[in-house]
Amino acid sequence: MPRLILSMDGLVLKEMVLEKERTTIGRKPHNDIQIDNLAISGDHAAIVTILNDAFLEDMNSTNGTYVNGQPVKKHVLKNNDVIELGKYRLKYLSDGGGSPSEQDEAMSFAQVAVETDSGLSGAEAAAIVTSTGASAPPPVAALGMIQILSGAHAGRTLELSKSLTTLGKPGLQVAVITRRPHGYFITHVEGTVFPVVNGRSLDAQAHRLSDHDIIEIAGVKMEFFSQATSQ
Amino acid sequence: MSDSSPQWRMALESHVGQVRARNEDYVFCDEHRGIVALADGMGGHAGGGVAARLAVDAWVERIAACGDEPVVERDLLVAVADANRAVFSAASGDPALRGMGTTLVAGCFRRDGMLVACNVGDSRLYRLRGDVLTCLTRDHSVLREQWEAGMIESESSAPIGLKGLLTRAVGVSANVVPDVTISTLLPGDVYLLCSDGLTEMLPDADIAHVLGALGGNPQLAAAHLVDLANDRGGMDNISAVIVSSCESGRLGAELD
Repeated sequence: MPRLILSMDGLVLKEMVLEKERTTIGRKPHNDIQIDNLAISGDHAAIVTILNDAFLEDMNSTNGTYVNGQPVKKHVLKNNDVIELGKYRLKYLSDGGGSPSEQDEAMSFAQVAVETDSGLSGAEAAAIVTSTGASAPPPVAALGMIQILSGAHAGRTLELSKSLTTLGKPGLQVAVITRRPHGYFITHVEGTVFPVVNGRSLDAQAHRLSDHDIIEIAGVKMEFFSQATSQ
Repeated sequence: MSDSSPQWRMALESHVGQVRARNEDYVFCDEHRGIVALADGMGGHAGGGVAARLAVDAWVERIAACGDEPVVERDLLVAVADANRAVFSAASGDPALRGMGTTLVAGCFRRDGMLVACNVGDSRLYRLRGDVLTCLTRDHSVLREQWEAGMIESESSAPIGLKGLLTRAVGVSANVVPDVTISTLLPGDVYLLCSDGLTEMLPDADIAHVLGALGGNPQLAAAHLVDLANDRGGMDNISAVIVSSCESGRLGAELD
């Protein structure tokens, strides 16, 4: 039976077995897992267990449900996933603590090959685009940061905690840094000048950032780096 | 006719997702005519994709026939009837396509500054105006009706088996009645048409954040919404059409 381990600030509070088809989590007493804290919504989230698969669903909670640092609305739980609700953490263990083979299984499930319906590609006006990212590498626990190196804000740092952060000078040049499970990417948004990374001007494609890359946007230099988040 | 309305820039993106074998969504946009359409097909062996495409093509053909005349509510109704007939007759005539159907959300950005749109099923039309994201359509789904009738507390608290069940769809019966939305367009507005593969994966707050930050670059906004939905599981086909008159997105950090 899959289990959940509830903890706060690294302190294990409770261990629960997911034996019902639907396990609800929230502040109200009727929930299967009641967490009496104001940061938790009355009906915050639910886990539906079907055979060996468990689906986590956020019930439109006020403060959101996170898995491995990413906000989720619906999520197929994998062994060792960490669900975060406010300051509480629920670690999901698939069965008997989760053997390595089960982890492989969970990974290969996420890497199911996909193909687009080729019958649709002939359309003139409609473009069906196959984007990359079909495989799901382990989520990044690291939090990206930008330190401004020149200009009026030199010395300031900026946390890249959202799924995207736009930066630049309006009307002149804007770039976006996106946070994805396999890393941080910078893409040109607007303006005639493209961002420069380590002295080289980017093209229209997204460019993956590495630690200590030097980025130049709208004449301002900045450094990208990442920090491991406390798990 | 006055041409005072802002320039609407459009972009579209459609992706099979991480779980499904085929992409049965179909998307269309025509910047010049100001027409957008999105369909999420279902049913039959290959039927879903066929239904989506037939419906969009028939709808677009009818609306394009209006030429320079402003598209009015009646045109939308006739175009949806055409779309319905196209799918329904194809499904009746070919056993392999029997039972297919599709959602449809489609609209026309008129030069006189009005948006006329229609929808059938659970594909949605959103508008971001300032900081406020508004869903301009109402899902024709069992969950939405149960929720409106007070039978369930929220659409996500219902049994999982009811998810995706539609109360209206294009092409499953001889007639279908769409909902029609007519509203004023304002400069700076950003609009999104999307299939439930996007809205099931992303809360409205995330959609608002992406449209707000990347509204100045519709192609990037569409691509990022699809990426996000894929990153969160991509349980269904994911499609987005973005229409924007926003010149510059909101900045997370303004550099001096």
